[in-house]
Amino acid sequence: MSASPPPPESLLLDYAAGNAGPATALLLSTHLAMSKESRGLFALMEAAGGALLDELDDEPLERISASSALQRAEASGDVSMPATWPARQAPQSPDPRKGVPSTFIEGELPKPLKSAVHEIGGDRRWRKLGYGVAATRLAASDERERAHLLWARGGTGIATHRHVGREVVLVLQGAFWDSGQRFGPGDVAVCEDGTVHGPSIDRSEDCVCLAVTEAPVHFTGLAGLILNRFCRF
Amino acid sequence: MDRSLTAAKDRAEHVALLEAIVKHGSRQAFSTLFDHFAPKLKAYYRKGGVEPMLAEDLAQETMLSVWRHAAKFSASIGSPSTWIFTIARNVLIDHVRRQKARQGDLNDPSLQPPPVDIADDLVDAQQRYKTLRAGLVKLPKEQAKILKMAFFDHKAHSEIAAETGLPLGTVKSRIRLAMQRLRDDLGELE
Repeated sequence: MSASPPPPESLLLDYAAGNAGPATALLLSTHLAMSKESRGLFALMEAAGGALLDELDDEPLERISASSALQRAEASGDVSMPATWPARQAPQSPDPRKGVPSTFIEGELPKPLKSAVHEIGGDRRWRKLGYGVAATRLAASDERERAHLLWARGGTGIATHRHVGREVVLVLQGAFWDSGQRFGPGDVAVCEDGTVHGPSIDRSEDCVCLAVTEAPVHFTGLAGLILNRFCRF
Repeated sequence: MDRSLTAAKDRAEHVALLEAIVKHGSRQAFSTLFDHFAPKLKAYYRKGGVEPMLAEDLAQETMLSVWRHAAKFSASIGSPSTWIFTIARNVLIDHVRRQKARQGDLNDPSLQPPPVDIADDLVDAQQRYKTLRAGLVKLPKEQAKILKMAFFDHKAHSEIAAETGLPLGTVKSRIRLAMQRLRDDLGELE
């Protein structure tokens, strides 16, 4: 057995400071929903951001003032405060798992991921990448990074491969092993550019992960690298 | 006077001002908060590379959110500065997203970090904030520099490595050490 992997501190700092891309932001918000330790760390980072804001030297204001702001509030009818945040544009999710075979994902998805999975729409299917491994792309992807849900059958071994561009993986269900470290639900594994590794899926159950890969990695390219075999460990 | 002491006093005052906005819709309280924070918010946006006039617009937008959502601030879980910082950050993310909107639908609520509770084993928020301020001042320069590049220059940690020429592993360990120090400082309060 091994101790839990450490929280992805550097990525959390990117997120806390507003510097994470949409796909990484989706992965980290899901991770935060699953990890109390990271929530504490993230809160500390935001507090550091607030304290640093306090340290900034004032920039003199030229054309805005408290009264101009209040006038704007009045003009838009916001004189009294609403009791709650206005609804964000989160898609309504009658069935967040639509299009994803329910056998792949047991139980409830963490909240941030539900809307992302919903965005896949009804026609999206898991794409088989090889025996025992499948993936589906999520809408949070942009030109710099891509988000996929990965599914791998328990006991599958992924052939040793080299990463081009960073890959960040959040375990949603099941577990995998990489370099003697076990990654279970809520854990985040980071493979930097150039990492060579060959993770193995834990035998206990099928593994579902959210993976964010930096361009220029294409999933079709990666699929060619994945040769599936069963391995014992 | 010790800056962190001043800050702790400010914090108590800012909490009271937010409460006055919630309870009485106090314009006076809002004005005082505005005069303190809007110039800092402008500085924050300017550091992020936003033009001066637009930086004022965003500062105003942030302060309007403070007015509208003051009831969402909870004194027990943090400082007004932290709360206002998170609003400012989200306003900036929204702004960048609007600029990029033509490139595709980035209308994803998960882009904005959710509000997160400060640790459950909370000691007095006031003391905590004072300690954090003092801890940030005491951080080794190379660690503080990385935090400032993240929060103000809006560089992801990989970009910080590329820009400073430091190995990625060094940047990561400095971030880890900085957070460890801050956490240890706060841990001593318990």
